[in-house]
Amino acid sequence: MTLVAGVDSSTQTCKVTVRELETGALIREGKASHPPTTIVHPDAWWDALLRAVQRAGGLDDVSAISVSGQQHTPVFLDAQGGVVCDSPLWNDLGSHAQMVDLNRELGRDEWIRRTGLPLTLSDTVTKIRWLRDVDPDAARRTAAVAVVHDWLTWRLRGFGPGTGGLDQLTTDRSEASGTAYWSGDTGEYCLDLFEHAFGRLVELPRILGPLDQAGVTGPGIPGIPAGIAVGVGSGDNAAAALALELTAGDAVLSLGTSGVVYTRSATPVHDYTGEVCSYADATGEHLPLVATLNAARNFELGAGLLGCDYAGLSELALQAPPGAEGLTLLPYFEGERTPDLPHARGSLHEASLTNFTRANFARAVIEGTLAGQMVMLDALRACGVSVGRLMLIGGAAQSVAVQQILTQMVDLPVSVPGLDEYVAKGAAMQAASALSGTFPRWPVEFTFLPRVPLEGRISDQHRAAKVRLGYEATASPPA
Amino acid sequence: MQPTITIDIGTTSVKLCMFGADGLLLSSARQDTPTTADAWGEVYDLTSLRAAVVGFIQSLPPAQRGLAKRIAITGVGESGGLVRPDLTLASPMILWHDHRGADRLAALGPAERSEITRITGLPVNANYGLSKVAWAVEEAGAAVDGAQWLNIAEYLAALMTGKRWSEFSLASRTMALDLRSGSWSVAVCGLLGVGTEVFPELRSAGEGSRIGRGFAEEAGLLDDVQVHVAGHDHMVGAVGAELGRGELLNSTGTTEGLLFLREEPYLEDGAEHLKLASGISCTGEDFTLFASIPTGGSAFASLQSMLGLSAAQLSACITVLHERYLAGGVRWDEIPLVLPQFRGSPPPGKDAKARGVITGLGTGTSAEDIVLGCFLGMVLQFRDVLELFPSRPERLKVIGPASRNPLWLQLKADLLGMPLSVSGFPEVVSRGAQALASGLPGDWDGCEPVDLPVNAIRAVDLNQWAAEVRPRWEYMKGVPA
Repeated sequence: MTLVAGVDSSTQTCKVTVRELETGALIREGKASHPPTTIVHPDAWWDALLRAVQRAGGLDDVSAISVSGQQHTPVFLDAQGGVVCDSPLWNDLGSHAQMVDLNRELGRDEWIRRTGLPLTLSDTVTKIRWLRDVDPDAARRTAAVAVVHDWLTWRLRGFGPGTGGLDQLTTDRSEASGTAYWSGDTGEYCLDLFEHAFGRLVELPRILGPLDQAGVTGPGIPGIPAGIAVGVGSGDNAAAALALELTAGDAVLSLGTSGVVYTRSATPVHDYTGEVCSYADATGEHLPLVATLNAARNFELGAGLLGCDYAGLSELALQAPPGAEGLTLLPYFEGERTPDLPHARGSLHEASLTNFTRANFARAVIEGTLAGQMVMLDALRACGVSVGRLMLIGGAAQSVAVQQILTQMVDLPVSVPGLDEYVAKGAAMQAASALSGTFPRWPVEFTFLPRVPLEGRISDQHRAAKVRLGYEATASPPA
Repeated sequence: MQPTITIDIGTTSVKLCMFGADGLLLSSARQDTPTTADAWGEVYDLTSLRAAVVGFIQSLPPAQRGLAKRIAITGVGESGGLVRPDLTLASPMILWHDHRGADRLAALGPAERSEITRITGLPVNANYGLSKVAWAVEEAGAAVDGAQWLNIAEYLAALMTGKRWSEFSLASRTMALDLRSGSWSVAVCGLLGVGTEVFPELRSAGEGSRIGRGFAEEAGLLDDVQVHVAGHDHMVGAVGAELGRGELLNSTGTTEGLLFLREEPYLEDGAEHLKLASGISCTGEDFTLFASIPTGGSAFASLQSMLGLSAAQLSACITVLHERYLAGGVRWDEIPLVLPQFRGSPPPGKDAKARGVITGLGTGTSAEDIVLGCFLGMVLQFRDVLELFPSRPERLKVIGPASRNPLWLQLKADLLGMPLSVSGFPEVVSRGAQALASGLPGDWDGCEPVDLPVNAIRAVDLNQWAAEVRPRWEYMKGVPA
């Protein structure tokens, strides 16, 4: 039996899954936590990967490995391959000023025209400008910039502090597309944009094709045999899309730490309204995507305030009517990326003596979270991308309340793939492709949610609350 | 004083007390205010209310019951119904916050509204009795049959005595009383198509009527008991608190009231837009200037329910927050800003459709933070309403449930920069009712007041926070309902 390993180095944890090459069946897995802060030393990610490998029983019987990771987050390397400084994560809000500066300097539309990205504080280019601004000495010592999966892949190949070999750094289209110095139209880096942001050029990872191999593992890595194939790897959403076998017309709603809605497109999009990011996928096509900072963590906060667990939150929410009798939550607890409100905080609206109940509050938390995702779906459609089916994934996808409420808010068939680690699974498929030169066809089981009448009041309330706080200009629905 | 049975019909509960001649509380009971719904809104369940009153009196030890010389009844303003001479009802007995007559007011033009305010001292609002009277008269048609509008307290007195009359402070809340003349206004009633004959004779709280023999026998009372309508609960509280001109009464309960006594009614130009309510006091000797904040203690009951806290847990939470506040341990930038308009807004907006808003929720926000935010929102709201009055109080007296809440009191004193005089006795309104029925003044010292000074150091922190959030606060208040 040939085994392959897929690694998901996400914001919160590192997950390693070992699967059978032929069927994709999960054989074993291991997990390790990442630090909860938004500025992290990259060694924490490497250490977590090794711990997760150990908890997965080691990889001595595995023939190939590939890594997917959180998009955007840079790792700054010196000429010898050492880490220069701690890395700001994609969700660190400290780079807001740099985002504003870069948009002002080149024009917001120019970034969209060149890269397909409405520049946000999450994109790698704002992080490198941030380093230049806040730690010029670290910026001076930086000889290469990679993102997390690039760097972990490079480490797996035996490179690291003191080894040099920056020219051996590799990445893939999906990761390059999240930097905001890559063009989906040309498939090449926009070096002038990097230089503009950072003040000079440095080594950037070589961009591999979807079925390329990054190399083989290096010697002396605990739990990982030397010489096994290392797949190209990808960004987390691209890996999940690969595992879900996303086709044109499918959209994915992922409720994880962040909320993400994406679909597949043969061509890049350029959304001058500034909501859709034109990323690349792991197959050679494109992955137009909209994201919010606040998603599943909203449920954690809601459950905490109500003194219950997730199941209790779900149970309470189902006791309340659609619209929660008017109680409306804008869940911008950590600021927000879509819409661009980095300094906003959550707000609860239309509270009265009669509707301020536990059930209504629980429902408002879920409705508010999902309403933010529905707006993103509208944004994708506005780019001319057709959406005919919605898949619900992520940690919160199994909540009965989330499933039921979602079907009341979206006029699409909704399916829920069976429980799996889809990012790690997509990475494992890339590991498999490093062996066979083609992506395996591993089955996915879907549960199709029953269609119910739409409850338009939920989105109406959400929109009205945004208008009230000045986050949206008018109460009229988007075209 | 006269040994007195007091009945205080509040929004959420009915308080029943028996006071001795020395003013000591001998017995008391409390039960939920019995209400029910009809096709238009919420109305009193009069059968249950009567049974509760009779049951309380019957439950008194015979020695106490035999002492009783007075029954004094207070109630929320603005409630009422049409009562025929035989005391049958020609309409439901409608609650104060029921707006079933609102469309009668919608047709009024600005000039008519100004005239109403100039005569009655009230901003035009469907809470007040007149629009409900117009609705009830129209609904009753020919069945009005000599019916007159009685407040819930007045109705209970009528049941006991067979007489119908209206007390001045309650009449002041009908929006039909000419403040200067102290009589029903033909002009104002005419604007809503109502004749003044639908309103009963006017009396001060000191003028009672002898109890009816039948009621006395049923309740086990002697037939020399005098029944008094003591008046509007907040105004009766002013008597209990021995409120003087220049002093402010802060009466707390389901709602929160601010009350000044004045020599003249406040009817100056511009007063209309402040939406403060002028009226006549229970003694008939003063004019009142009053504002009601619709969401008082009920905000905390809602919060307690929403957060799943027991009364003991909420109390412990308040203790912890109070200690943290005094120790300077509040992280002000983490406290959500709560606009507690959970049942409409206070003056000058006075919009029944306004709703509560909470902003500033972060991933680290705890239930305690929200509780503190709610108290802070309450005192900010209180400050705003106090700023509407034409003068600063020389002294601030606090009565009601807030007097047992150290955090709420300290925040209020510190935000206002003003010490509070806080009642140590829980039923000041009932004490005021006994005083009125006995024809005697109130006795603040008898309420065992405690002085709460401003904490000068914490007041700086609190006012700095209040200044920082003020733009956001004003924005939240300005958002249309």
